[in-house]
Amino acid sequence: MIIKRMIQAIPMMIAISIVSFLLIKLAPGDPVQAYITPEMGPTEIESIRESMGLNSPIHIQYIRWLKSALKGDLGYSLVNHRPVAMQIIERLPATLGLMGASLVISMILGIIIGLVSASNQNKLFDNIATFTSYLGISIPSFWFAMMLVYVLSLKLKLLPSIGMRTIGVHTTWDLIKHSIMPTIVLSLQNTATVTRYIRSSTISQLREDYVIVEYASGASKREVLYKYVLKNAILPVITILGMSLPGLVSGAFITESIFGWPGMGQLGIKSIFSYDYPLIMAITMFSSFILIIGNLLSDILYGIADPRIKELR
Amino acid sequence: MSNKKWLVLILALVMLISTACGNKNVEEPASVDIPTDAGQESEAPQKVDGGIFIFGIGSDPNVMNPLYAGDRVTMTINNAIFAPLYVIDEEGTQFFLAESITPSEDYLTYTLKLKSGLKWHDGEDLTAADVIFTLNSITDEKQKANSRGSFVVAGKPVEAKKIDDLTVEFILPEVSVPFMGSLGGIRPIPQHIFEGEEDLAKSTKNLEPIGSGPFKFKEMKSGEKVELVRFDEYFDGKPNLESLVFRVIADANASNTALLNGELSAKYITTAEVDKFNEDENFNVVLFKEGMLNNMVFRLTNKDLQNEDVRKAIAYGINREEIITGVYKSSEYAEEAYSVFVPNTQFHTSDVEKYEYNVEKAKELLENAGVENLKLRLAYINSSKENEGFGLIMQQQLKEIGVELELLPMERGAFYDKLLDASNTDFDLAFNGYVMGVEPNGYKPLFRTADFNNFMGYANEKLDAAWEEGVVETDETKRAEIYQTIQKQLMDDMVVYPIAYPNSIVAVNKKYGGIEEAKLVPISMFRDLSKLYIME
Repeated sequence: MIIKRMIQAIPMMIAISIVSFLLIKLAPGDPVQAYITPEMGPTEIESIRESMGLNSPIHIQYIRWLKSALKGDLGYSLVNHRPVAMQIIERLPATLGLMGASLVISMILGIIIGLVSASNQNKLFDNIATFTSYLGISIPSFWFAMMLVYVLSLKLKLLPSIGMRTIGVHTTWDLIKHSIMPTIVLSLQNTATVTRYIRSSTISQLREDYVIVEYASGASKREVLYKYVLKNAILPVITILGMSLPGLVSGAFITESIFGWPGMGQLGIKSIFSYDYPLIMAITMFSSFILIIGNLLSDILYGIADPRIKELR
Repeated sequence: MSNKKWLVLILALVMLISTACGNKNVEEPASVDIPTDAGQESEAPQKVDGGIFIFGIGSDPNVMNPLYAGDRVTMTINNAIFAPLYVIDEEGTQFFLAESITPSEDYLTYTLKLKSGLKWHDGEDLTAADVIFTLNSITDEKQKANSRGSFVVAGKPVEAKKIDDLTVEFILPEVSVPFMGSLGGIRPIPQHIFEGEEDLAKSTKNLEPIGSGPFKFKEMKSGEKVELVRFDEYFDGKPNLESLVFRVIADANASNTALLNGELSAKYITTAEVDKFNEDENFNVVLFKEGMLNNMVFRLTNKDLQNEDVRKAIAYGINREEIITGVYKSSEYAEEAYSVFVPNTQFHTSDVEKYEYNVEKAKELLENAGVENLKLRLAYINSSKENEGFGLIMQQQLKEIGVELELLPMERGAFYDKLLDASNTDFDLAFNGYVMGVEPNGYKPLFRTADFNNFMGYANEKLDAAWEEGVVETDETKRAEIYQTIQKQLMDDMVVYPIAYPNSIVAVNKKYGGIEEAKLVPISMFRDLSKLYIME
C-alpha cells in the first residue's frame, strides 16, 4: 500500500511543478532586471536573457528543467550562479532543526495541556488553556515574534534578537539561546492546535462506555486517564502530525526571515524577490515533497496505531 | 490531585527555563556587542587596535567578483575585499591601487601607473598583468561582465598594453572623456587565480575571493554571515579593525532591533527613525548625500502630455517644498531638486527653470493648451513609503489646477516591466529614482532619442548631438557649457520633474571612530574601511 501511495505521489509532484513553473513565468519581472545597467542596450539585455535560457517558449523551458531535475541536477541560481542543490543542502539543517524542535515541543506541550484541560473540564486551568489556545491560533506569528523580540531582547536583554550564533562565539548554549524565540514562535500555532484536538478527543473518550465500565470496576481517575483514555485520545495527534508539516514549512518562511535564521525559508523569500526560478522551483518542490511525505506518514502511523483503519482500506 | 501535580511541574519547568536564561546571562552577555556600562564615563574612550564592525545585509552576496557585482550587498562586500584603481568624486581624484593616470595629448592613450609593492591577499604581487587580465575579461563578450559597455568605445574594445610591471597603457579607438572615470572604478581580479577559467561568473574561485582590499575573506555561512579579517599588507597600512562581519538580516524591523541591541554596528535609517536614534546616547546619526534624484517622469505616449504647456502647467502646479516637508520632514534630509543631474555630478547647475509653485500660471498654461478636466494615471512601486507620500501630496496639489491624478501603486517587478517599455500606456506619469554618478555622460541613455533607457519617449535631435559632443570634448570649460546647456534644455522641455535629492541617514554605534576618514558614500556605506576604528 505504501508503495502504491508513493507512486501516486509522482503525478502529483509533476502537476505541482507545472503549476509552479507557469506561475513563476507569468509573474511580472524577470531575473534579468538585476543585471540591467544604463550602459546596456536592448541587444546586450537580450543576450543575457538568451544565455539564461529565458528566450525559449515556456514549455521548452519546463521540459528542460524537468529533464535535468529528474537527473538530480537542479541547475544553477540565475542570481548568484551557484548550484541550487548546494544552496539547499547548506540551508537544510537550520530549517529542519527549527522545525523538528517546534514539532517535538508543540506535541509534548499540546498533549499535556490538552489532557489536563480535558480532565478538568470547565475549571480554571481548562478555561485558561482554552483561552490561550484560541489566542495562539489567532495571533499573527510575525506580531508575536516582534513582541517577543521587544520584551526578551530589547527590554530584558535576555536573548539575542537575530541569527543562529553570536559572531565569534561557538558554544551550544549560544545556539540554544538564539533558537529559543524562533522555536517558540514556530510552535505557538501548532501547540494551540494540538491542545484543542487532544482536549476534545479526550473529552469524547471520557464519555465512552468503556470508561464507565472501568470506573465501575474500581479504577481510579488517573488509571482510567493514562491507561485507557490516553491511548485512544492520542490517535488524532498522529493525523495532526502529518497535517502540521505544511504549516511548519510556511511558518518557517516567516519565522526565519524575522529572526534572520539561516534556513530554507529565508532562501526562499530571497529567491522569490530576485525571480531566481531554478531556486524557487527547487524550494517549492521540496516543500511539496515534505507535504506529501507528511500525509503519507500520518496515514501509515494511523494504520499502525489503529489496525481497524488498515482493514477498512 | 494529579492535575495539580501537572500544574506544579509545568510551573517548575517554566521557572527553570527562565532562571537558566537569566543566570547564564549574568556570566555571558547575550551579545558581544552590547555596549558596556556607563561606569567608565570618566575616562575618555581611546582608539584601540582590533575589534569587529558588523554590517547588516538583506541577503547573501551574489557573485563575490567585482566583474559581476550589481547589487548593493555584493558591492558593499566587494568594497572591502577588492580595492579600486582610483576614485573620481566631487573633490577630485583619490588614488587607491594606482599612483597616477595620465592621458596623452590627443586623449587616445591613458597611462596608468600602479603603486609599488602591491599584494594580493594570498601574498602574490599585484602587477600590470592583473590589470590587463581584468580589463580583457571585462571586454571579453563571453564573460558578460556588467561594465563591458564602459570599455567598448565606438563599437571596439579598449586595448591594454603592458609597458612594465607597474605601468599599463590603454589605447582608445576614439576619444571618450568618460573613460577615465570608468577606468578608475575597475577593481582588479587576480590573474594567477582566474587564468584559464571558462566562465568567470560560475567559477568556484568566487566562493573564496582573493582581492587586494583592506580586508580578506575568511568564511561565508549562507544565510548567516560573511566574515572578513584585516589584510596586514594593505597598501595603505594595516587596517585598524580586526574583522568585518556582514550579517544577513532580511527583515527591516529585525535589523533595527539588532542595531539597538548592539548586534549591528551601523545601519541606514529612515527619517521616521531619526529622532529615536538621536535621543539614544549609544548612537551617532550621520547624514550624507546619496547622489540620487527622486523624480516624476512624463510619458509622452499620452496625447495631452505631448503638449509642452500641459507638462509645464503640471510642474507649476506642484509645490516642491510641501512635498519635501511632508515626506522627508525637512530639507535637512532631502534637498529640493531643480536639475536632472544630482549635485555631485560634474557640471551640475541649478541655474535652470525652477518651476516655482504658481497656481495661476499653471491654470493659464492649461487654458492656453485648451485642456480641460485632465485625468492622469500615476504609477509607482507599492512598497515605497516615499513614493506613496509624493503621490498623495501631488494628488491634492494638482486638484487645485483641475488635474485629477489616479494613483496606481504597483508591485516592483510589474512596475519596472512597464516603465522600461516606453510604448506601454498603462500610466501617464511615474515616480522613478536614479543614481548616475559623477560623470555627466552617465545620464545620456535616459534622454537620447529612442534609447532603450529613455522611458519617457523623449526625442530631441539637438540634444542628441550635444550628448555626443560631451563625450569627445576634452576642454573642461567647453564641456561644462555643453552639459549646462543640456540641463537647461531638459528643464525647458519638462519631461522629467525633479523632486528631491535625498540624503542618506546612517546610525553608527558610538564606539566606532574614523567615520569621517572612512567617508560615507552611496551604496557601500563607507569608502575606505581601513580607516574605521573602535574606541574603548
